[in-house]
Amino acid sequence: MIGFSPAILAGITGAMIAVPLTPALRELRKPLDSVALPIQQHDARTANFARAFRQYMEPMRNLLDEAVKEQTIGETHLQDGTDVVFVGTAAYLPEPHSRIEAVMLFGHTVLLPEGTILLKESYGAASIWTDRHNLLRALLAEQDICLGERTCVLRWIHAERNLSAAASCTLHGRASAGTSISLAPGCSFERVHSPTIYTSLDTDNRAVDEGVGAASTVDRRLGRFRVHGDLRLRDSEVMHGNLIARHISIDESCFVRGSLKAKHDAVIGSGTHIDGSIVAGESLHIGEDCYIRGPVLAEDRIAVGRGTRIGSLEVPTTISAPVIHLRSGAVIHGTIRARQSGRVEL
Amino acid sequence: MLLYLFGTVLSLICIYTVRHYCFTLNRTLGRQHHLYVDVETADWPCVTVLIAAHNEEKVIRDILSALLVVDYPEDRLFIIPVNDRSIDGTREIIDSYVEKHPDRIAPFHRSSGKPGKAAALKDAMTRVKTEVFLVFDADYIPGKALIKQLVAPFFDPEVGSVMGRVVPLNVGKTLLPRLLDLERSGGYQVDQQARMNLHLVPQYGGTVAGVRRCALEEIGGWNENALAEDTDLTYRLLLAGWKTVYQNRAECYEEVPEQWSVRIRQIMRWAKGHNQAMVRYALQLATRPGIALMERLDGLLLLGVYVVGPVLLLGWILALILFYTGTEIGSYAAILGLAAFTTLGNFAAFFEIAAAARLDGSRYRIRLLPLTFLGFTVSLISVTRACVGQAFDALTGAELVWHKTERTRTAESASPVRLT
Repeated sequence: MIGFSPAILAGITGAMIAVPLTPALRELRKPLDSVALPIQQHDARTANFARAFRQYMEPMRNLLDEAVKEQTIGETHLQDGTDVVFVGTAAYLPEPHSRIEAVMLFGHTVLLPEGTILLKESYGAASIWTDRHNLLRALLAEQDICLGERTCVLRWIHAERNLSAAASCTLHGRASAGTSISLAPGCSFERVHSPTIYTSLDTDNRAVDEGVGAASTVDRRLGRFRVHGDLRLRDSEVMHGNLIARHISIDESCFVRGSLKAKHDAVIGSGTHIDGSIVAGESLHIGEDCYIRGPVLAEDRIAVGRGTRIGSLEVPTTISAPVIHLRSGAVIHGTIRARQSGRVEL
Repeated sequence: MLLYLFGTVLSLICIYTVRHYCFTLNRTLGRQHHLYVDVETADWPCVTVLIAAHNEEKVIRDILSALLVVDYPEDRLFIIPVNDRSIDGTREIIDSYVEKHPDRIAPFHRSSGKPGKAAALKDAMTRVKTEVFLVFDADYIPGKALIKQLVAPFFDPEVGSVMGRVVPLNVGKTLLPRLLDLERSGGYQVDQQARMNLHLVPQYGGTVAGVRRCALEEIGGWNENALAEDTDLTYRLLLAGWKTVYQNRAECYEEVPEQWSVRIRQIMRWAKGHNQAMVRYALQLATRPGIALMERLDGLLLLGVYVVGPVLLLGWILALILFYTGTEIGSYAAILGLAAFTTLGNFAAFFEIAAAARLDGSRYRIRLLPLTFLGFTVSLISVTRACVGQAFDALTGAELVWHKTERTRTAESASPVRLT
């Protein structure tokens, strides 16, 4: 037995080397995974899914136009087995609580009654209105979309003009519009993009757009003030320059021409005007009736007060954090990105 | 005496081992920081893209074509190819693009001056009028969203530089690019991102990267005597209170060496440049007030990363000497610790690579992981040669010479994005 020991040891050692090397040599000889890792090649815009769907249904446009011309409802089946329905009549009205598993293409403005479930993407050549408690996978409309209370969108929604969501709607995925988006109190969202995003359905309460400087905040050389500790600006103070501190607290009616960076939390008092960006390492609380040029970024959460405007029509921006709470009456111009949850509160 | 030296070596290796494991565990289980990744809409600043080009006729077309179609306001994007004393067709190719896009590309043809990328960039800075500028090597191919992703962090007033992720394009050719692909994965997907998550010191890498001009001016501009201008810049910015941000989603294809001789020269240059920065900045970093403790510690460990190779080699030699001289190394606990280290500890870097491959969604390429030991061994020897040679040069006063990495891209393997 002792005489076999070196052989046994050599065998075990050889096996220990061979076990990991065998698949390595196989992969080397016959590569199964030897192409470059895929990297992002698109422009990462919110409306990309809607754009892709438009390209997808473009070949069927003539069938929809035909259905509209003949005021009929037509059907077809795609190669992958998907059913497509062309609704060319304005009188189309599905039964309440219908469950529809086809791709729906509407040639006219359509009203989806209460409880309608659309399990595939849908398209409207005009406007799409929904009653309460609808469940929609994805929706694209060439004009307006108006969602009734407690409607839920699963993947994306895009209106070329205006998108409005009544109370307690849930917009999973992406929501975008060419002109404006209105989110009533109770609405939850993830990724929203539009020139103007209102957080109330009150159409009279539209803020006048402020004139702002054309130069980007980054291009302006404003000087940098680093505070090794906490920073507080008192009521009505004016500050020129970029501020960096551990905690930042800005009282009411201050004016800051520059950007703010808080390594932890930042609190912005009511009526304050920040002509720059705000970046917080933890949470950010913005009071009422403020103006922030943007972008506004936080690692943890952002709360925006009533009447506050972020960005402008001339200079849209981004507000991004894992959790974003907007009080009803806040107005955002550009993009809202809540990586975990976003909500409009009363 | 040898035993104590061996103990010191072992402790140092253990520190780096723990560091690698911390990074891997953080990247796989910890909270991820991608603060700037969702900036889709903003008042984008004007930005200049500098393309460092020295004899790059094989690759320069691809990057110029890609930059002309990126998603960034055209009137705010300026492209400056920095043609540094090229003797091939680089100049003619650049000029042909300028002819077609005179309002978007303004070349800087450099025919004299100190050789090296840092010196070329320093001279080209006279043409940069924007507050933010990005630097690319000529073999990179940026995607549409890349410029915005690299510029977005500059809205943070604390950010002085940004680094994106490089992904090898020429992976399928031979063993070496495939091994380097895995190494890059580990280095960016895990190492850099973990340092970003833990608020440590992500490194500015010199390409697929951006710098804030006022930050550069504050620290005295480019250091043309630096062999690794990227490491040099990282530390000068850190010492001046500027942050370097790593953007994992800002991905860009690059070309990695396909021959071992090219790879060896490349890593020897990196090692010498890095060690040069270590000698210059280690003491300042250790003593400068106002730097967070963890940043300071990680910064020092990062500076020493190319010294670890020769130290590890020394450790193996000492271990053999101690073994054959029959030296007692201590109790059973010490023996157990040593045995545990040599099994688990030495594999910390490979664990990082494995985690990175998993995060990338790769499948079969991870089977090559045992073969990365070959790359590791070549790197170990090359870095040791570089360190020894550098020490010798320092004693004799020899000048450090910059060597360009050779390109192998052909028309067939070029990017499909090419405008004429």
